[in-house]
Amino acid sequence: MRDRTVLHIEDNEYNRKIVRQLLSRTSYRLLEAADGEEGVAVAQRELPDLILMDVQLPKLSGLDATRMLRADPRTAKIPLVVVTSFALSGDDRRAIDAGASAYLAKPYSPRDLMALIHRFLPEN
Amino acid sequence: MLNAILGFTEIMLDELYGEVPPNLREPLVDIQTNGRHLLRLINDVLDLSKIEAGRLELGVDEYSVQEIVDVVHTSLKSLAIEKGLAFSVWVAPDIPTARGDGRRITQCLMNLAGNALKFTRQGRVEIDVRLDDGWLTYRVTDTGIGIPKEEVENIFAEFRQVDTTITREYGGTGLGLSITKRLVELHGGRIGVESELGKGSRFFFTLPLRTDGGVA
Repeated sequence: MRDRTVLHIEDNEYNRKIVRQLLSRTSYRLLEAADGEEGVAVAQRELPDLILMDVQLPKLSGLDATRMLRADPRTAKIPLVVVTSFALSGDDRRAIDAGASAYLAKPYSPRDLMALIHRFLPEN
Repeated sequence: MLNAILGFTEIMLDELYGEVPPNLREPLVDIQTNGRHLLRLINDVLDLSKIEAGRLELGVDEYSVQEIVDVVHTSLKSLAIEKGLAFSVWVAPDIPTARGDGRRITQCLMNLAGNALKFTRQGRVEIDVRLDDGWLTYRVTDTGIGIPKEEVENIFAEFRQVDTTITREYGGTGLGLSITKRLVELHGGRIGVESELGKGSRFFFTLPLRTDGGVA
């Protein structure tokens, strides 16, 4: 069985670095995309086991990208966590409405993010 | 940006980059403490500017008063235990499902109860909620330091902690009470305080049991 793959769609290099570091000591394979369009393309090509989607992305917003992936039968069932910017702005509800499996508000605790990844995708 | 500051600090402290030398642990925790404080300040300033601009919209829905009180109690219990304070809650048994922005009302009660615990060195903090004639009254009573008479009327104004040493000793952004007041008013309610220096304070706010939001 191949290592389970996580796709991280996030335009901020520092936030990508955090997830890279978090997953570096695990068996997960990590893919990255820096904007919404690229994220959708990589998801459709690689069919990852879990998607982490930032809400504010260039080219295609995280919510629109989520809706596109949900509309595509190949990616419709992949667990998808939307990372929202501010807990209070109502993004969490919009994320669930767009089809997210769960949301996590920034600034998140890396521990909480790791727990969420493990919940949707137990390590091999 | 704060996500990166707080995130890198946490994964360093969790030793994902390897063992943390003992002399670096304290400054890393200091970064974390101050980062979290900055986050609270940013959130408060954002809230207040949204309110000032008339851009803050209530997310009105059905909510349970008991649930709000339980959330606040659970979140703050450890602080009470740490300080050796009794911390109790009581909700009148006859309260039906309420309507309003449960999340914002939680924020209000959290602000008041958090302040009460912060400014009480010994004794107790109590939260109680009752319903009279369609109006809910949330009260937070403490045996804390109290507020001088001449300061009571200013206590809900922005950046109005009683003096600057308070900010240093007790932390906080100085915005919590004014945000709470505005959120209560957005629900068509009002807020008040009774206090005696050295004896304690009682903050309370009254809201319609069911509201879709009023004009602040």
